[in-house]
Amino acid sequence: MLSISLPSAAPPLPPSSHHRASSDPDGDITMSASADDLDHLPTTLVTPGEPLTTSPQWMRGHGTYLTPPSTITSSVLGHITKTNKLLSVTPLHSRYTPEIGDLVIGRISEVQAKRWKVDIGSHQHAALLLSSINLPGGILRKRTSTDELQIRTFFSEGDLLVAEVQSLFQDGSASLHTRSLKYGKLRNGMLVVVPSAMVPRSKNHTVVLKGGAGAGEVEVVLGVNGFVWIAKKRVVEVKKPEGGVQGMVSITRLEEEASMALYSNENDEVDEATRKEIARVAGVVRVLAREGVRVEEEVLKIGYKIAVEMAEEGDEGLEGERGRRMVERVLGS
Amino acid sequence: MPLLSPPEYSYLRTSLLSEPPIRPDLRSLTAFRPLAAELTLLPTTHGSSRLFLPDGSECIVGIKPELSAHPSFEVSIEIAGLRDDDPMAVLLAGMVADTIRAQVHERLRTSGNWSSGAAEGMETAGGAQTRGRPWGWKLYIDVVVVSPPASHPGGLVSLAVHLALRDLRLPKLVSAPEEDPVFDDDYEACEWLFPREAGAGGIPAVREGGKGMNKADTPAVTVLVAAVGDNVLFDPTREEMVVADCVAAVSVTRDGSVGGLRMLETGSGGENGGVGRKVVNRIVKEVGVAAGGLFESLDQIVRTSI
Amino acid sequence: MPREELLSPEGLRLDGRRWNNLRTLKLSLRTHPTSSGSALLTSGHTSILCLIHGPSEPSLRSKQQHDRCTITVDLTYAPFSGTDRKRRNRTDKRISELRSVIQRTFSRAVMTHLHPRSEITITLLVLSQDGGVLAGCINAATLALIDAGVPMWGYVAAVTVGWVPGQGGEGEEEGTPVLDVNNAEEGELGVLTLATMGDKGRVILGMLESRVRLEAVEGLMAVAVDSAGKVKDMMDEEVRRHGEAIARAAGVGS
Repeated sequence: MLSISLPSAAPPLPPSSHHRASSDPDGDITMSASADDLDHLPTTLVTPGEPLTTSPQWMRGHGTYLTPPSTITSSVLGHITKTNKLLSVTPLHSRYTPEIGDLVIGRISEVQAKRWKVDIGSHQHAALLLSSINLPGGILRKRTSTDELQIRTFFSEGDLLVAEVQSLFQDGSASLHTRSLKYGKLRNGMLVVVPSAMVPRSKNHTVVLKGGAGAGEVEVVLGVNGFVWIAKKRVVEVKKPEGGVQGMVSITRLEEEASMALYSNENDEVDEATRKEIARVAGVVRVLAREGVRVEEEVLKIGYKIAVEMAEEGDEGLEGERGRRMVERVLGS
Repeated sequence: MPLLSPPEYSYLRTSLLSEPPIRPDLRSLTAFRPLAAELTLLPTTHGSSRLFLPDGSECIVGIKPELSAHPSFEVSIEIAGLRDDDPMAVLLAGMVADTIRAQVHERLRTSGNWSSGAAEGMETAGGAQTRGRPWGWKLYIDVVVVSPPASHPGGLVSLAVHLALRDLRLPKLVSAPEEDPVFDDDYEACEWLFPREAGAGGIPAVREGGKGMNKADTPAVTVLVAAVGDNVLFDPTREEMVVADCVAAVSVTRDGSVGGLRMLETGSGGENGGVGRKVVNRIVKEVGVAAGGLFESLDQIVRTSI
Repeated sequence: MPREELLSPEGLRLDGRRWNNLRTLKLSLRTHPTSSGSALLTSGHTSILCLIHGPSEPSLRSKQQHDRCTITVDLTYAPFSGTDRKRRNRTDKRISELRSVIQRTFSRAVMTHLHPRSEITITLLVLSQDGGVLAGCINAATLALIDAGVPMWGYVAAVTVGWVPGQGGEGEEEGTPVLDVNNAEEGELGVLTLATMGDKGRVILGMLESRVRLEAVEGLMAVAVDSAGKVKDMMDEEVRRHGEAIARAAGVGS
């Protein structure tokens, strides 16, 4: 019941490289590649302070700075990337940096007069303006002072939502919007947070999995910022103008009408079989990320299928060794 | 900023109220999260341990003994990012001390000469002035919680202290009882405070038990449990604690007797606030039942680290 | 302690090293993957862990600066870190001084203008100490910041150099610098802790504790700057090794 593993299974306190050094003048120093050899080294790893080039054909991008008079120098540990004439260094690790169009999941951290601050795991919290959300009455409705007073009826501190990065402020922080019905408050499930590098930008950030073991469908929303929402598959509700029965409408409708149901905190009924599969998918996401496998549609589908198979074979749970085996099988297929 | 949104909260609570409960990581009721542990890692100490969880919580314990007038021990807890006098750190230190007090005091009493017959005998033998100066061991048990805890560190800290105590060796006395104490310099000559195996080596237990480790042979442990409806969950995550009816720190010895129970404030309380008696009884029962397996796992790690 | 013990006529120090030998240096990055960045440094018996959080939204509104990132340093000595057990609280003068020095150093070395209104927290834990704690903290923090992907102008590399005075009097024998001092040496000698930034030996930190003769300072600085350069090379080697291992592993997952 209490599984304690030995140190060999653990990230080691004993470190990895040893040096017994003296200040001999002819000690080994590896020379970095000549600064103008860049065309021959497309995937060079560079470190902070390392000069990259003095050639005037390059403009300096992220991850670099200019050492006067004309040397572009790296400021991080990462790989050189060349886009047209722009020379940048992409760091191996960093916190999520928002880009316009990113689908992100965030948690409301603060409620201000006409906007919210949203924690998206980046260098700063993002902003969500009152004018950037769907309000009951339709997209063209004018924001009134009543809306401002009732701002917490829409989103309050702690609420979890999915949104798109609409624009960036000068300091690089994001401004979000939830103006499509596929965005908004999240319900009926649970959150898993993984390093943002493990969720690459792709065409499709919403993955639907058929629940094994008789469960319903499970929807996974992959936030580019590493926040992943796993829940019972959403259906979009729209209040019919003539009142009465609420209908289900495709979210591709251009005339989008919203109702206060969008901001409800009430979950739907989620049966136990589905809850179990939601937890299983969460485990798959966690383990994939932990083993350094990027989480995207195909990998997720295969991983979940294998996890269900393993459960049928009696291997419930993906902790420790079992998780590693799952990943091996995923990579093998 | 709250930890959970209202839908997350009610989703989790409903899942945990199911029969059997569906925990977010599909663990069973009594399963702990997998831990990695290391012993004897700090050369400046006489006993040490390091434990960490996959979520990044980590705890290092170092124990240093010092000569003192009479046996005692002191527990200090440092949590990265918190002030020294933060209520959490102070509460945790008190909790750990209470849990281990009985067993540690019993073992310490048999070391030193402060209660030994030699000292007293000398005193009554015609007022001789050459009786040995009374001395005992004072243990400094220092705990460092390295990462800001993603969960309440109580359970992790308690297990780490338990293992460090079982890793602890005290210098071996080489002088005569009436002399000032002198010890063997050789680390290998040091004696375990708690016996490694039943009846094996170490300072003998005050009560000679039968075969197998008796209650005094290992320090007690504190486990954290969360009660949600009729379910008692072991080693709850922070989210599970938030939605629980109550969270308790329960100290238990290897024979299953519950030594202490502290209700922590992290629970949300049921509909009427607080919990019924039945819940508390259930907690005590479940911890008692689980004790055997828990101590077996701890014995295993001690055994394999020799 | 007599001079001959600190440095024997054959040129051997207390632990058998020569004047210009660094202690065994062990470096590890990303020891704590759940932090933004982390590193563990061991130099002889001095062992220091550094964790980085951020850049992220500041914990206090007062810490937000409109044009740059705030660097916050937290430093703890584990009570079991020395031969004698000692509990130091955060208001300890020594700790406050070290925190301040480290904070100022990295406020210079980190490109703080790239992350305005954010905060980076550097958490340092001294697990065991045998001299050279400040230098160890600086080096550990550099590695952890690199691991976290925080943009810096270059490596900040630190060393300690002690001064063993010569025999006094006529026909005076000149003193000797000794590199990378341990606790015993730190207690007896004047010690310079020096850190350089980047490749060109630019001095970013200098702390001379205890008195040293004026004529000796130049020699000390020269040895220190040169040795800091060697330490930088060792750090860079480990950083590259670590980076290549990560890149290889990432190749597997895609």
